[in-house]
Amino acid sequence: MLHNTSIDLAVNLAVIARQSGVKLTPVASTLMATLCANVRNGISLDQLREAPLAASPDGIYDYSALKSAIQRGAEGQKIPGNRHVVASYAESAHDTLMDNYIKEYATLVSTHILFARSVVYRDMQTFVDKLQSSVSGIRMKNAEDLFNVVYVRKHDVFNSSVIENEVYPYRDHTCTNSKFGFRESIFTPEFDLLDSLLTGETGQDELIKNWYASVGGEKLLSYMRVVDSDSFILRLSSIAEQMNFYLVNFLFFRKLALQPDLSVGLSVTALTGLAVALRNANACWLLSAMDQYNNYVKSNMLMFPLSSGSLSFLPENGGIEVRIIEEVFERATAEGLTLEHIFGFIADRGQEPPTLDTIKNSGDSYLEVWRRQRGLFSVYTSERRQSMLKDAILHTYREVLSSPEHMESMAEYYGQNTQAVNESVRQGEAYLAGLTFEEMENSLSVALHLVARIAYRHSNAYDIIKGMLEVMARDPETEPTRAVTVSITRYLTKYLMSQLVRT
Amino acid sequence: MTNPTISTADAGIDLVDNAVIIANVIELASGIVANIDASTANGTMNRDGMSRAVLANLVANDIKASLTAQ
Repeated sequence: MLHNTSIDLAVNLAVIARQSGVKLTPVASTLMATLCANVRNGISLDQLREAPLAASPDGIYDYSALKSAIQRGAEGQKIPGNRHVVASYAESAHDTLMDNYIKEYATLVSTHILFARSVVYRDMQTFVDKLQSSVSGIRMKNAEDLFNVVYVRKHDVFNSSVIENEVYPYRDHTCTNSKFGFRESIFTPEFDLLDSLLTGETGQDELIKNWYASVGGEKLLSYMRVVDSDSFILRLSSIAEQMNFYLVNFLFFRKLALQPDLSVGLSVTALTGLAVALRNANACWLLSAMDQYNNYVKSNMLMFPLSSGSLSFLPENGGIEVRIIEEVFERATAEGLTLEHIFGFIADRGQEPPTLDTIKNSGDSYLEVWRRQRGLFSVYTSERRQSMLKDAILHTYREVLSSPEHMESMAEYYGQNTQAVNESVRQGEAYLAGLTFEEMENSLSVALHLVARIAYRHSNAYDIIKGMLEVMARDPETEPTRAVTVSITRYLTKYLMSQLVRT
Repeated sequence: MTNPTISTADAGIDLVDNAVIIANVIELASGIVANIDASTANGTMNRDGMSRAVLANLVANDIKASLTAQ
């Protein structure tokens, strides 16, 4: 039996097929061939010729005779009833075949849907979750991240009275060495560094406290713990840090010289003598460092020399520390220069620090250098991200393939044969090799291909899930149940149409 | 203007054959979907409120797309 709806739609489509010059023929020995033969054999063309089809005035033909003929060709025999016999219906061969196959296919397709949803889609979701978790930690740097910019400004404490009165007098002195071999013994838990630096003058001490807070007690304490100050100073990355180093030591030994109350195994006289010597040495070195700093500012240097390295795109590099001299940079910004000018200069010239005039006189040429570098870096990071994403996808894919859930599902088809998994990996790698970066970023699509199409290639889950995702992509409001219905309908239609030859 | 009259034979045997084939595709596909076990995947697949006629139209749409595809 064929429902009227099926026949009405079929005749309309047959007209379209004729207009498109399409003739359909069932492939021999297929279900479609048998079903169609059953109906076709019941249609008498001679009978049809006797039933002319009237065309409507607007040119739409009436195919009711054809529809009736198809209906009769498919249906069985109606046995009329009478007083003794109940009316009945004897199934046609077409009825029997159609009813049986509908039931069998419905059961089979149910199994396929169940498998697609509860096994294949589960693995797809696992893949997507794992992948997103692993790539969320990947943060690619911006070009500006290649630099670690620190603004340096000389603290007011370096212009205070204690400096003016007790440090400036060391100008033109030859600075001596400043080793203090028993430092560690004074750093007891009770040791209060800030207190050991104060002068007793309120205004001066406020400046010292402010400076102490801005640099940080821990850092200043680390300066105090240094035994071999000569090599340590070499490791300090800027004059500004050296100034802090010498100031904390100067203030400490200055107070110790006045109050020699530390228990370090020396007589008061010896301790005082040592403290005075170290106070003087640190004052001398502090003045030398301050002079260097002032010379930088006077000569309009925008930054201190780079402590190490040059511009590198390698992410392992934590970024070049660029110590900008804030007083000079303020003058530069007033003249329209930016950090990008300085970045361009570093990219072009390396470690040599630029002056304000050097950059200003070059117009925007260093800005152009930086823009080109940014462009190159963008290409570099894009390629690197693509490579990292591809690695993450493959790693995640292997994880899913080796998960107990997947192994259990595959065992139903392949037993314990690892060749099937190896083949999944091989096909997966080949698939990934052909993807663009944008395609790789669509994790659900990648999961669909890797998991549903490749790993579960023995099933038809790919078609079912793909159709479902397409429906939901067109209308995100679509309920999953509706999406499955549409997908499976499409899948079945495609399957049945594959039993036809189109000429 | 005289209303044209045609016979099925004039319309061509292809029309009959194509109609029979397509009717079977529609009947079978819509019938299967309408009969899929409602308990599948905890109700994932059920009749979904779609009548067999609606399903038949869904199938017909896909066939039409297939027929008119180049």
